[in-house]
Amino acid sequence: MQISLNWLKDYISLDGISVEQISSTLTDIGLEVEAVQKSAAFGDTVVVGRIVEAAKHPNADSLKVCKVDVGKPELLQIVCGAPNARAGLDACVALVGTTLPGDFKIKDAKIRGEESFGMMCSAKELGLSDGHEGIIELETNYKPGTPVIKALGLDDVILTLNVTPNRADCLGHIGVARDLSARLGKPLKKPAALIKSPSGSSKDIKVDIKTDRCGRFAALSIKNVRTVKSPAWLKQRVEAVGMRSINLLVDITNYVMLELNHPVHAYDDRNVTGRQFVIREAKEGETFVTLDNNERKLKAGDVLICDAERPIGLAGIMGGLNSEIKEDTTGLILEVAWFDPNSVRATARRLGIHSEASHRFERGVDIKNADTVARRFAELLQTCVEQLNVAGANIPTPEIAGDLVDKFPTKPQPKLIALRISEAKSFLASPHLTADKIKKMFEGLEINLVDQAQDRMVFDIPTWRVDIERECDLIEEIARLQGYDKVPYELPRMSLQPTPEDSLVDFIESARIEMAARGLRETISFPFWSDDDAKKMRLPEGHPLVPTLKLANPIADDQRWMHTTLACALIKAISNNNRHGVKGSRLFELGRGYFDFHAKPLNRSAFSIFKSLDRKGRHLSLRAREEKHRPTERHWIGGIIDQPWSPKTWGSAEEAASFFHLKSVVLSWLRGFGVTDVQVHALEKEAIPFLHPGASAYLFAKGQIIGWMGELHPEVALAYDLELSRTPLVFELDLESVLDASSKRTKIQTESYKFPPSTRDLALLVDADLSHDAMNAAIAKFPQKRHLHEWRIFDVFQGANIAKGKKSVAWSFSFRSIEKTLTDQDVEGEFKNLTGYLTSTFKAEQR
Amino acid sequence: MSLLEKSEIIKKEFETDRAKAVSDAKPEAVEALRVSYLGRKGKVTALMEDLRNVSKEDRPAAGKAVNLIRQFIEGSIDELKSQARSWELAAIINREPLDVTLPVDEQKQVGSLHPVSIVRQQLIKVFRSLGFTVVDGPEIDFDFFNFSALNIPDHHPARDMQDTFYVDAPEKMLLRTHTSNIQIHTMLNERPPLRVIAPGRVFRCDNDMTHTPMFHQIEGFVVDENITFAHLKGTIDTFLKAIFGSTLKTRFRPSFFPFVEPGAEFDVECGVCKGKGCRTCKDTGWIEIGGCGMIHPNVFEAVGYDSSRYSGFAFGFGMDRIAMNRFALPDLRQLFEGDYEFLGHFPVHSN
Repeated sequence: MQISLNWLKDYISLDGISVEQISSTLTDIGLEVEAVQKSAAFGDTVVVGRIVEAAKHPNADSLKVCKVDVGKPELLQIVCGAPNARAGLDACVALVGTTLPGDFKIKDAKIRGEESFGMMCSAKELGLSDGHEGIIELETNYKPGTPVIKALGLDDVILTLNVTPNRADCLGHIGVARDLSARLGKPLKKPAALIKSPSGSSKDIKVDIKTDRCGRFAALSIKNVRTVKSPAWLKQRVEAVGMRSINLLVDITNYVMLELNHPVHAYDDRNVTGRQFVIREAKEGETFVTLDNNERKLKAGDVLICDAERPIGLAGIMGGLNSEIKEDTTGLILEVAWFDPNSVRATARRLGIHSEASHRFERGVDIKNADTVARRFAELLQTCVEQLNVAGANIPTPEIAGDLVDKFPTKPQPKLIALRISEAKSFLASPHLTADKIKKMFEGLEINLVDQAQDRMVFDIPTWRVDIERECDLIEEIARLQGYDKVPYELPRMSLQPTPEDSLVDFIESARIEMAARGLRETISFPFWSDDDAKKMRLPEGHPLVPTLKLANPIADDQRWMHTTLACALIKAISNNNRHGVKGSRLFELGRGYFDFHAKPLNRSAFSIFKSLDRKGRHLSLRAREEKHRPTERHWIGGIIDQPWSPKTWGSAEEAASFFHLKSVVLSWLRGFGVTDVQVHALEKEAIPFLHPGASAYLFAKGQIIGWMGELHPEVALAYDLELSRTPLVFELDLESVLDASSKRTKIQTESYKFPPSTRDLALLVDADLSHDAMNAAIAKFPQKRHLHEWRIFDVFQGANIAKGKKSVAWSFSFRSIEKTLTDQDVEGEFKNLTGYLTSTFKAEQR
Repeated sequence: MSLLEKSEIIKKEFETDRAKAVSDAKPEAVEALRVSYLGRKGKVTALMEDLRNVSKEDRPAAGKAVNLIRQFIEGSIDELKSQARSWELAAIINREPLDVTLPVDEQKQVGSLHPVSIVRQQLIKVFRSLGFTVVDGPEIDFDFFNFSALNIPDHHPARDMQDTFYVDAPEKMLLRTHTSNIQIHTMLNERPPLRVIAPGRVFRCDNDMTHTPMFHQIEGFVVDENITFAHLKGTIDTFLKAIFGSTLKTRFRPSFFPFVEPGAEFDVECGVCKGKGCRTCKDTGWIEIGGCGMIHPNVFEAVGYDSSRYSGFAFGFGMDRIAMNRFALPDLRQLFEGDYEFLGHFPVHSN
């Protein structure tokens, strides 16, 4: 909302108060000043100067030596280079000492030997417009010496206010002035709104309100008008606050709105058939052309202003093309109405119209001031016509009706709200507040005290303050008028009883730190997918990771779906980094996957590894978890490791990142949370379609699946512009499942070993598809196990000397006793049994 | 040659060999010396065997001489052995010195936290020290929690303050526009007294130089009997000082958020210019932080709290801007671009 300070001064005296003070006062009372803009970037030392003489410069052909009258006894000599400088011209003279835009200081100077005291300026030099040739030529009716800012109406200051949606009353200058008057204790001067010598009547206008969405409709008949240019002051004011000056009639409708915050509409009376207004709800599918020449498709419930035959206005939003003021308009009917805010807003939003009128009606205009507004319009029209005629315009005197047709079916009940002084005092920790002080504050706002008994004050809230509904609203008025800085700083005294906190919250923060500690950098991305992403990620229809939640109003087409997995965002990030020549990135993110399992239930039988995906998360309160339609949000930690693992260095060759680097990152992170008993199983083909079918796995711990990891599928790599030879590795873990696994304690060995172990190595030839885990599990179950303590695989070999379909695996076994140092004999027997057990179990051959 | 003569020769040979070993100063030469004299096939061992062939009457004298030789060599070697330890140490110590300036790849060993995470962790620390509990909640929510329970009814112009992403669903579902939905979730499930913060992702249908469709907020609220506007000011002042520095002033300006009354925006004095006005604070001397206010009785009533018994305050602010301020980052969008090199600038642990 733009406010002109000169305009504001019509209603409140602001003499002796600086612009900075006014601006900070407005901010202090909740009308935040976002910008202060002076109309001119120069001061009053740029004055009107009449060139009395313009002689050729003796030493320069292109310069002139001018004698200029600047309203002082002596003429000023100014050297000027402008081709249009000539005797008789009224110019803008920047006197010595002026600073022009661009920090250009005017000093007295000698130009080619001739003295010069000032400068005659072009529009560009004054910062008024760009690239104009020559000096400004003023119209010749200003007195020399008059400051140019006065002559051109540039002595104004425009404040841009951030008027919050509750303060509908401050969308007009009078409302802002009222707030200032209450705070500064200065009287508010309201415009008189008197019609001098009315002629005629509005009685022949018929108004019929057929919907309760119109609370009031008043019409004033004005005849014998002309669409002439507005007087300069009116044009200046309307333009100063950012509107276009059109003609006298339109400008006054805007002026009244900007003054009293009540949008009005003027109809060309030739187009109001039958001089009749019917306010009714539109029929479904009815169309109407608004004055911006757009055909609007209406819905039942939209409100139309109609004449005897057809719609002529979209209530509270925009007039109709068929009845607007035109060049040749000579009579008008002025509408001052009140429409239901919700109704105006719903229609305006749906049609995508945001007009000055709808902006105000949807916030709530004063239902009671229709007559004042109509009279103010008439008064301004009379005044302007008189002024124009004094200046020689010769316009007929408008015939303005002395009455108006005013349909006001249900007059609002007085809004009486009680305030407890004690409550205001304690709520604002302001013991100094008294009934007198409070009463004074409210008087400034024209909020009248109607009853007072002891602690209780009852106020009658004026109809323009639609925001005041309860005691707390009155307390806010006190708080902002006395200043928020008057409230002291105190800390509450409360019970130490904490609100219970879910362990997931802290776990998520630790998860972050632990992952960062493993060499990955945390990233944050937008959780949106395009229509294509599911396809690019190779997700077939029906797969649980296919997005199910779609935005109704995405910003862009590639941000339409809520993602289900972080993998895609991480892949895109690697792709971007690669494009910028950054290789070997390792990124991770903590974010959510979003699912609508209500609309598309999880197919557990077809996708067994996702069997717990549709749990409602622990981030929800118990109550919210029970809501049936609530979408599921899973907390993921996802990561990606780009190639290579390490570049070539002075000590080693380049090392490619492998599945096992990934596995080591993931398992060590899990170990950080005590999740050590993790099984890694190869994924069934296409269970996670964006992973390589032969280099991917899921992780299983404490009875549930906690995540998956693997090399990116080469087709996905291609789809996201990655090089096939450099496919990255990705993982994703369900944080809640990890937390569950980490909070289940396993029994730990509490005695420590004091005697050294003995080790034996064994190489076996086994089937190539025998997994490490299968052998590992068999060893763990070795029936004659006595001292076998630890074992690990230390070689896996296929190739020369090994039959096809076979592989050589070498294990190292460690035997240890808690009671003694084992002898060779102790160990040999057990090792022999173990060898026999493994060779027979796996039909292996000892090498 | 008599045994005695032989012993003399062996002794001389040993002394030569010993001298050589000493000058070589190699630990392994000592062992070689031992083997060649005292080993199974060593010279002294051979001498001992020769003793068997000496006549009975000469044996005591020869035996004594051989023994003397053996003891001498054994003693010398023991001596050498202890010397060898110091040669070993010297060899290790005198190794070729390293070029300690050669680079290592520590950048790959330790990762980094996102600047917003760093800010969040600091905020959580400060608020926990004030006795606040951290609460999480849904990012996709129903209209009731995000709007109507927060005194923002349908068709209220206040909805224009936040451009909302709606989800295509039969029930009115949206991406939360603020973390204030946590007020409703928490109050529906817990009873006062409440001291809660809720950091999290929020979404608005907005994308330009200074707005991203997703960003981060932190919500805080306190509910109890007799909570006043002064408590709001005191609490906000306390945590702002903990975050931005104890010498900076704080300021409250009236503003409007439908779920609070009175409502305010709060600013902290610009830390760069200490309130004098500079480029960072756009010459105002203040940095805008967030919004706050006394919880509106309509909100209490929406969750079934007795608004005549309980009062409370709530506040919320963006964490992204605090991160930008703290790390002097020029471009908000940089936070969400996943640029590996940019992300590497932020430590895992910071104070």
